[in-house]
Amino acid sequence: MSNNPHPIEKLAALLGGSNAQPVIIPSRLAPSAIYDVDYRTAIIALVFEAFSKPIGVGPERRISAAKLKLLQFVAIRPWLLPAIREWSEGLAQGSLDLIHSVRIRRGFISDTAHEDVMNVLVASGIFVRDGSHVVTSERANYLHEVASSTTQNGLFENERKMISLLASVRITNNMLEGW
Amino acid sequence: MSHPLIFEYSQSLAVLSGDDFQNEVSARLQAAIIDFQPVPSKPQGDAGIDGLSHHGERAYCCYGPEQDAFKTNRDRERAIIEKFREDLRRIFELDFEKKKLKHCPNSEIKTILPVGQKIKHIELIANWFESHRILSPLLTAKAEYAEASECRYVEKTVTIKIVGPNELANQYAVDEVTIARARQRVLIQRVQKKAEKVTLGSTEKFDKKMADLKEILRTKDDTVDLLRIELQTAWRKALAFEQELGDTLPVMHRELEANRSRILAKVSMVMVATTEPWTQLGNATNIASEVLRRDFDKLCGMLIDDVSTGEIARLIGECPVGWEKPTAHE
Repeated sequence: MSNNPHPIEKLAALLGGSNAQPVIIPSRLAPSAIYDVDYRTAIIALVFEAFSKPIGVGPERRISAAKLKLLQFVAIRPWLLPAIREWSEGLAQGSLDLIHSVRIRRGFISDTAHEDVMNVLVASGIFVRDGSHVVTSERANYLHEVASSTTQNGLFENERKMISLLASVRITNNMLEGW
Repeated sequence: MSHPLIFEYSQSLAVLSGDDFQNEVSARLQAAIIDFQPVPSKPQGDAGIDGLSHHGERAYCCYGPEQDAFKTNRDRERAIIEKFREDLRRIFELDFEKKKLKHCPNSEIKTILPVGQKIKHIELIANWFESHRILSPLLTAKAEYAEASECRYVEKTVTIKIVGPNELANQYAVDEVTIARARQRVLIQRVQKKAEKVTLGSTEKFDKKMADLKEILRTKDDTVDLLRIELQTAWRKALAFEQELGDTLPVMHRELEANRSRILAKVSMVMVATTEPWTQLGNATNIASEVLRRDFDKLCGMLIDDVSTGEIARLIGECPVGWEKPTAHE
């Protein structure tokens, strides 16, 4: 049973006995950054810059699609770092709903917003899908520009710090399997 | 390896603590034992007994300490032993006086047990039972207390059993309802813990609103200060809930995001369309609850009232709903 003292009712009673004027501005509802394409693109660009590997001698680079999805998921959720470390170092997969690995896996696998942004980036000629990997395409320079510009302008400092911390976490095949 | 559902339920019981643990144990026993009777602890106290069954022959005591309350398992063992010894002493109507056990009447116990009925078996249920070292101290204490007690409400031959999460999960069938309920409780506890750590971002506009409210109400500064804390606490809980969904159920996070817009639209409409906007604000939590229940009832029905209050507090905190001082000509 909740012990919440219902502060909204208390507030309404206080305001009701006053001559305060209501102000309602629906446009001020701040949407979550999670659904902001520009923000998500910048994070993908930063993660890709940090973790992708060159293919042969050409300019192309690639990364496992699952790894990219997991890393960007954690990059925007810094509080998950201890959990992902534990998952990386742990052997047991544990059960269903309680163990970190299962909860994070469930979270990043169902991160459909990431897939939406990836679809846009593929359609824009920035990435191509190559089996389980994503590879840079003819307009990949855009991604590099986004990552550089983000860093140069000091944007998303927490996320960039998180990405550098993630370099010390071993992303095992086990973590990326089964989805 | 036990069945995954039993294992999951056992793990759920192990992570629950305090009232959440006791409530879950109570719900579990009510579902499994036809005459299980929980004993409310308020207002007169539970006399050391959290539940009864079998016409009062069996008593149940619960203890679910916080997982991180102890540095070592030895500390945890000591706490469990001490808590259950204390419960047993109350049932046996004993207390220490100069280190000696003395009769100490438990006036409430007779208002709980049926007249003439004595307890024959006691289950001591804890959220941790991974050491046999709690057995001997408790079994010995029981024998000692039975010897020293007048045994007005408990048989001298009473038996006790220590039950941990694993034993309780295996004792009766684990069905979908049990698992769903346990998941909800774990989610609620996780949101509550997260809420304690959430830092509110930019609060300048919220601070301005509260300062204005003080000026408008003039003599109620203390009330406004208290209300400010309550609103921020509710706001934190809404943010923690959002964070938990974002981490583990992004699809539901998207639903929450859509629902937030719906809540604001509905609250705005009713406030704008009336001559008594503040009366409608008082009803805003119900509006939020109605909107959220459609998508979140199954996932976290027990949390919706708190989240609804939090979402309205968040609308106030993040600016869409507010107030200002009356203009000079009014």
